[in-house]
Amino acid sequence: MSEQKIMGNPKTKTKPFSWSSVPVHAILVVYAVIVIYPMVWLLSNCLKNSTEVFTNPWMPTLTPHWDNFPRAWNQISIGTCFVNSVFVTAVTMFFILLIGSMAAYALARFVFKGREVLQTTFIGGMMFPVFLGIVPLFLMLAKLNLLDNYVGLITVYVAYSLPFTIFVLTGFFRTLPHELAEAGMIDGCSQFTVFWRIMMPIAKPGLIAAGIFNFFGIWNEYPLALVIINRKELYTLPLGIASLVMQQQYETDWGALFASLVIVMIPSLIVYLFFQRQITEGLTAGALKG
Amino acid sequence: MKRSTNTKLTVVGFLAPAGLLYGIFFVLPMAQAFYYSLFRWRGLSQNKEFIGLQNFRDLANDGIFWMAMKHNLTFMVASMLVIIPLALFFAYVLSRKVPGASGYRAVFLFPNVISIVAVAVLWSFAYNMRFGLINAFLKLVGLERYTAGWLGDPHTALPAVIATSIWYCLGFYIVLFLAGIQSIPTSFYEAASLDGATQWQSFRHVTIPLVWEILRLGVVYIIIQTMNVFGLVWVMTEGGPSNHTETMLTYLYRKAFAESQYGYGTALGVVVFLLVLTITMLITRIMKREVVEY
Repeated sequence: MSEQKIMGNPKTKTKPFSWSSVPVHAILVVYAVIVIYPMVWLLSNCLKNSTEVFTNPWMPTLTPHWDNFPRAWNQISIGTCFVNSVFVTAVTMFFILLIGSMAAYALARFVFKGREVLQTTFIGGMMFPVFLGIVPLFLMLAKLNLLDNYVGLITVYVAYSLPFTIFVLTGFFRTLPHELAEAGMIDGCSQFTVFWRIMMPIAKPGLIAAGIFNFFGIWNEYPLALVIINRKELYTLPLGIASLVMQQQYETDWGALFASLVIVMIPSLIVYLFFQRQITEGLTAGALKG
Repeated sequence: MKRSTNTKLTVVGFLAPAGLLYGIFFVLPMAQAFYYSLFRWRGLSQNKEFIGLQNFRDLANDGIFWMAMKHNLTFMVASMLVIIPLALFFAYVLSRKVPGASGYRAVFLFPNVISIVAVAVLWSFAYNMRFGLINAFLKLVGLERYTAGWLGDPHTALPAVIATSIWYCLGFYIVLFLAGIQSIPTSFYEAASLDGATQWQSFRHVTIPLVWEILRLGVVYIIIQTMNVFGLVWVMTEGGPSNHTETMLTYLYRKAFAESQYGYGTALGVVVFLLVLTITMLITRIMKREVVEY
């Protein structure tokens, strides 16, 4: 969808909006400030020392403490969590996209007995909340020795991301021309070569869309990590940042805490800025089609 | 013949990894939940004792559970009352030619992509009694007597958490409704305005009926989201002060993972699931209208 279409086709002569425009604009601005101001406050606080956080809530500091960031990274170990999160997110996304697109491709391209049932089972998973199965899952992981390690966490992440991923990718693979795959078969390629060499490259837009949403889903995931991971050195960012705040009884390095919050938000902000259009469209596309 | 076995093998091979992972780690635990909820099962031992529906009876007599459910329902109703009108208003305004509309949309959606944990932490700082943004603002505008220790005060804790949740997700509903409104052909509005309809009339009689299905979808999302709220509450208050922000899932987490009452916790998960299903079905039935085809 082009930007034009989103904002209304300029060729049609809709009257500009006119509910006495001034109050309407005022409301838009006020809400934008409500959304943005906490971030501004966060950015201004992340360069203050603990005393200044208390004494000067409004103004940015005149003596920026850039050392809040190295302290957040090292001493309160946000750095470790960051690296852990990058690792877990990258590995999970690789497997989700690989396994998910293989399944979606099979469901979209081949006609076989039980296809409808299988597809419904996969996609229907989106209706089931994580917490319904969380205790049995925990007990199963305990039995399999998959608690408190990344094999367990990543396996679970992949499994729980499959319904959405297959939903998006099946829809996408359906739109791709099958003639290409047929041509590849005639040229003597194996099914996997056809999939990997021919279908995957043209499926890139679909993979990107599924990838973006899985990135946010995994990077921000909290409850499953909370249940599965226990050791501090394995904490992902959400676990790390939550534990900092929930155990703040002891004397707190507030400046560094604000700094770590900034560190957590930066990757999401960057991905959002780059893929804003896809995110906005993708967010609702599924909902509107379904 | 050869080709069909080949195809069969391909299908199996392509589906096997996803099918196995999904079957073992997703479908199985969800199915087991209904079974485990019938047991008394404490600690990691294998000693589980079949007790039928006793867990559910215990839940019915558990004051904290009812309190938690009341909080979830408050959460749900408050969210609907605030989100639906606000999101519809913003979506309608942004769908008309407002200067900077795509910028506003980008800003409004932003909280939705941050980790819910980061949002919870940011706002628990903002609510902080001593250095928080909210109290500082109240002092600035001369409302000092309204300053509070928001999250520590039983009267203000739940509203404070709900406000944070709305701040977090309003953008999503704006974008959802916006997409719906934009799919309405502009000729409908032109026809309405030729007939002399005011902005309000065309909103009321063109926009609302044509986005009704998406409105209904929005309501269902709100139900699912508020009945399953966990991370936000857990990080901001851990259900406190003294259960005043306890929700069904924070209580489940506490029971299952702090007190190792696995059977009881699972039963709670089943109840939440069935409750969401029931409310969703009721609301979709209540909101059922003739779909306007266009």
